Amino acid sequence: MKIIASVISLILILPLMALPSRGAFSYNETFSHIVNTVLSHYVSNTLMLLVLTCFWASLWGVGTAYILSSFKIAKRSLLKVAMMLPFACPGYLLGYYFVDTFQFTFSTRNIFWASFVMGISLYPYVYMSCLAGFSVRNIDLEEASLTLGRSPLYTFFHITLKGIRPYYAAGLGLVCMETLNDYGVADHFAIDTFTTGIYRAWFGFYSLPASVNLSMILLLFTASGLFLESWGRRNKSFYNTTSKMKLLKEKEVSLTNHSLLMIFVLTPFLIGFIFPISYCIKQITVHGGYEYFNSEFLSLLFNSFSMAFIVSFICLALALVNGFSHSLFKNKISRFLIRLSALGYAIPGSIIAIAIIVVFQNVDDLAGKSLVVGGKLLLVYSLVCRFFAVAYENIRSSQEHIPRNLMSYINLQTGSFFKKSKDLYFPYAKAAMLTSFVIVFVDVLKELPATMILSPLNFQTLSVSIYTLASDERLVESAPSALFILLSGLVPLFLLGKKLDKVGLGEN
Amino acid sequence: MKNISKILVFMMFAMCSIAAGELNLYTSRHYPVDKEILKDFEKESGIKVNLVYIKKASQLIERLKIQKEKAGADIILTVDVGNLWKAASYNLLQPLKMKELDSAIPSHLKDKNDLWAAISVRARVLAVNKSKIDPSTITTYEQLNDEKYKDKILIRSSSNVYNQSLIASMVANNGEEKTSKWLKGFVKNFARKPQGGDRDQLRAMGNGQGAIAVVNSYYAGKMWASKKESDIKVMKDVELIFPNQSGRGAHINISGLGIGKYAPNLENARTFIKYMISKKAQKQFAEANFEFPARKDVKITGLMAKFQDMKFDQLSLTKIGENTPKAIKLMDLASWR
Repeated sequence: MKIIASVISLILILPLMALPSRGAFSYNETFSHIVNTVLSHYVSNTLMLLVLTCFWASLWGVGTAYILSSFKIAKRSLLKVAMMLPFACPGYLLGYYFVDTFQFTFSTRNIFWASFVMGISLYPYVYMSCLAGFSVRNIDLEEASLTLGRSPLYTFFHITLKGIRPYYAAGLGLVCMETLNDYGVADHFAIDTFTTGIYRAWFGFYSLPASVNLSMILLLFTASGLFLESWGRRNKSFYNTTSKMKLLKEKEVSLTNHSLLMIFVLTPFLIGFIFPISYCIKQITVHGGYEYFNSEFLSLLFNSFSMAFIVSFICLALALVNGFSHSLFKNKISRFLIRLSALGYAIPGSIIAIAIIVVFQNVDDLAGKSLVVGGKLLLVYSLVCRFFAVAYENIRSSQEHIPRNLMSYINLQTGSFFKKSKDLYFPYAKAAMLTSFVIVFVDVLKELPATMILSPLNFQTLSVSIYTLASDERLVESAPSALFILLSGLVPLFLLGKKLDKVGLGEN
Repeated sequence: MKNISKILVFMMFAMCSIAAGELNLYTSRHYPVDKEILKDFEKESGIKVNLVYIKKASQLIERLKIQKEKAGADIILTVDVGNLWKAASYNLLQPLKMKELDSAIPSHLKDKNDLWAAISVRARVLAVNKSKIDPSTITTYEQLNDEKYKDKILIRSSSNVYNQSLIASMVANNGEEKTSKWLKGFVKNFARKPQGGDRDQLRAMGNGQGAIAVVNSYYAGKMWASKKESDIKVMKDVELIFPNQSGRGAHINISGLGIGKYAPNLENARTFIKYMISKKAQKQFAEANFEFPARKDVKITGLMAKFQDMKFDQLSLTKIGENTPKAIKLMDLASWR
């Protein structure tokens, strides 16, 4: 099994290994021009955008998750689901709508508003993983802290927040990678970031090597971030020592506080979901967008959903194998490979796509005939490479909460990989599996660059259609597709929402 | 799982079947008129068009470069000469060898090695707010670095390919040194940080910022034709200037096409090009998008008709492609974002 996990990992990092063959780390005149003139802008803008986006995503993500898991709020279970919905809204779409609505009211195109828009569309990553974390946290510690005279604020920051660190880190990590990877929002808000620079080097200077060089820097940056975080929690454990978990009791709040909390919770939901939905509906009804609900739209819908389903299914299956193997086997090489395999998420989708074409071109050349290039299979593969990390990180963080004595006990037992997985990991991973599936599903629906580059003959998706139309200001034409992407989150999210709600109520 | 693998296998086979009577079109254009014309072409010729559409032409070209014959590309259709130049320099195109092209399309709108040809033309022009500046006082691009236009100029980012081509044409016409110097003054005259698309420059002008917007001619056409209240207001005071009329003419760019080097349906590709340069398609193609036809003998009607006989820069378009990387470096050095 560890061989299978290693092979899976190798397949997933194959595109990363193909990058050097496209000129990474080689001297390049264009690259040195970039280093000498604009690179410092890219770095400072990217860092600024990253920090601000993380701030917004944490504020809404952690804040709402904590409130909804800890306080008695009206319509709590409904809100728990509703808070996830902005997740289905692609950042660039929110960006277009936001700028279109407010451009004459105030100056919208700057880092502040770009990070705000990104924060709103990305906070659900943090929210989802933190909600899971808050729901299984050890309430005893908090009570002890409060009894011993610590303030609620101190307790929140030093006990509660620390306790959910793996969850928070997983969510925030995804936010970081999405931010680093973003092209649409940064481009629309006129901010030169690393990723817009990668595209510029490629499309303007016609220099794929220079853009690959930039991607590699970006990749190293992300990789070191990820390793630092896991190194930071190397000797810490986050599992519960008690076998009996105490039921979380939500605190009562006064009417004023209740309204304040409600406003806080509803803000990101209104901006990230209700605003784009109503914008869309207006385009469809008032401006005649209903004309574009045609057969072409149906084929987009079918393409997008079938692709999303297949990719999320594969990602989940692979993440389970790799996640369980990482815990079960102590073999250093396979563990290292498994960690590496989650890096695909950090590379711009377009670079992955090109790398994959390169890899498969070589495979085709060896085989002497065209096997896969240009087909849908290739697109599936690249999306799996890209989104595997999302599923994997979720599965991994679920394992950190398995009590260690239970883990050692099971590991000592004889039995197959499947039996151990079934008995030990599976029960703990159930919620994470659902989260993984849904996140990957919606991510694939939203994905742009890889889908665009690898698009097979006569194959378009909702997201590509939205982007191409909306970036040309054809917001009316794109509205039906946009509406369905926005609503697409509903189905799987409600499914997931129910489960999460149960977790929240302590029914596991 | 079984079903999924079945679906995957089916998808693969579906991809591999490229039969006769077909045309594989790789395009980066996505205007409604393209769809209409393709439909008409299918009806008239009986050839089925398979479409690969990638908005970013460079991505499309990069993919073709790697896939080579496996892409099965018969026609590559894209905007901006830089992209066609790149496709040619990557050896993705084959000579067109069509007599029909020689008579229909002027030579400056064709590749000197016969690898691509223009099907429509657009100019990069100056939209001036005539309530602020007398349009007759501006006649050239070169004037725009004059200090008196400080805080007057609205233009999008230097990442935009239309701007890159404009500057590349200036490098080709005026030389690198002169252009570099000109750029520094020009960038100082910007009314704001470059942002948004061409239409956003017009809107900013309507909103009181700046007085000269650098835009593609068809965007002005689109805005004039817009039924949106706000756009009508924005365009009320706008006059278009086609610069350098007494010199080289206004800078132009094209939508153009070429035949894929490994085109599996070569004859169909030629049939398609013949159709695209037919008078009917030329008129339809240009008018719908407020562009100008590549054919001289096709007259358009409508908003842009009065501009069709303006003087256009006949600098070989190939030179623009060659000079683009140089142009971007100069723009970087002048801190044009």
